Amino acid sequence: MALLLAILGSGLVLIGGMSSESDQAIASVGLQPIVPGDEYGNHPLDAYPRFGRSPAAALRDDTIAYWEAFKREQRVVQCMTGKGYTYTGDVAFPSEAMARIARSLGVIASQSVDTRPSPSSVNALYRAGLPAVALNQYYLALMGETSADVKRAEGSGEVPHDAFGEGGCIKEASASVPTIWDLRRELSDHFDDMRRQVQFSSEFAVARSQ
Amino acid sequence: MELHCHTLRRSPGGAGARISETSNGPRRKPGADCGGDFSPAVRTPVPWPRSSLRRRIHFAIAGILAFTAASSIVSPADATHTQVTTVDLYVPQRPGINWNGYKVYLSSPRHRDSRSWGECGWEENINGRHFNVYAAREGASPPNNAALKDRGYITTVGANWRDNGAMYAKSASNNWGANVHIVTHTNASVGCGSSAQYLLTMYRTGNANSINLSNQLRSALDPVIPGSQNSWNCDGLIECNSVNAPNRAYVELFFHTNLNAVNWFQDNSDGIDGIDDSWRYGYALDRHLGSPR
Repeated sequence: MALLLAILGSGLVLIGGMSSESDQAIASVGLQPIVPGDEYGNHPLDAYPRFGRSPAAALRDDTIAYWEAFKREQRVVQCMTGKGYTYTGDVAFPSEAMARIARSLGVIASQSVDTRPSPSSVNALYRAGLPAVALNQYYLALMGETSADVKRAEGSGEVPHDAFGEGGCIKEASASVPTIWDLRRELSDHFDDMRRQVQFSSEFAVARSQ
Repeated sequence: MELHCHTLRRSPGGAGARISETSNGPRRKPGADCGGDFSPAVRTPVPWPRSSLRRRIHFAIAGILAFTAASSIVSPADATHTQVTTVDLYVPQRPGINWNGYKVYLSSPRHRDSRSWGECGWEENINGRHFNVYAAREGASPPNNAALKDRGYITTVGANWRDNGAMYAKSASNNWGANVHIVTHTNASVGCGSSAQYLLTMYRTGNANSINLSNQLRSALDPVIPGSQNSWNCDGLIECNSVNAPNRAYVELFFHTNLNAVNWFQDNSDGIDGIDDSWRYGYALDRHLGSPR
């Protein structure tokens, strides 16, 4: 299995399109030797950002993913500003996962009570001040959806089509800053199938019973 | 606010142990070196794309912290079955075992009008979050009754704040890179006292992974949930058709308007209740993925 993973890993960089800034950055670094050490050991895929398995490598990948999400929000801000709207960047990321990234980078949040409004509440306040027609235009600019559809999606989760909310400025931002996870998702089905075949194979069952 | 945590009889804490969502491992002392935060033993450098990238990410995160309520980031996720929270709960794999390579996002209900759907017991936002937390972290006796963390999964349990935040949950799951996205809601009929009751597991049409995961969840949960079971597609729901996780399913555990089902879920007078069956999520996921380790 380890050999299988190593082969898969060695092909990953070649398979992936170098479309994003992070991909280009990943390609420029080369592969560093893996140093055995921690109690969990290292994994053959650790050297390949987005496929890291040891704790430090997984944290590295999460950090890159957060950085990309932040960059996308910056692009959305620029895009919305260009269309005449006020928008505050609001990175959607699990809060505790983000806090772990921040701590690992030495960014320690204040322990005191913070009364500043969150980005989402700032945006909500701005939207609340827009007339109905302008609000509709705002959502079309931001995500390519009407305010009626957004309201329905937020309330019941029901949406009229796939990839809901991924048009407008959000689409532009996603195109300019793709996510580190794209390649992993593309390979996911193949990898899952491979593992299931191994897991449920008669050879594996025999080996496990011994 | 006083917390009344769920009583967990089969937890490592022993009979009657009361837990809260803050009992997720030791917390660091203020000012401690938090580098390599997944485990205290990490010493091995991992390759980064380039040295300047790490520095740029540092500034990016510092920048976003300047706009984010810091208290919401550092606050413990202390919701129980009496509270809703804005905070996600992060549950890494159990110390001493390897991460199996799968990140699971257990999405909780975020209905603004939760509490107004005829709930006989706890409100829907609480039901989903509470079950998710136990599925991620508590479980029962391994191996078959283990929680997700004991099976090597890293799990984020989504917040259950009353903010209509399903679109936010979708984006958070996508940005985090979840491999598995499971939504846990409870269903409603005309009001408390309704006879309608069944387990409903839903899948994305044409997505073999989603169909199989949905089937595994139904097979694992149906034996213990009162009433019958159903399955159909969730193609029109944003957390089904717009999440990027290759493995996704949408669960309506039971009808919170059915007294019998509510009693199954939250009444522990007989020493066992529905929460204690939350390990079935991990069991179903292992069956679906082939027990990755």
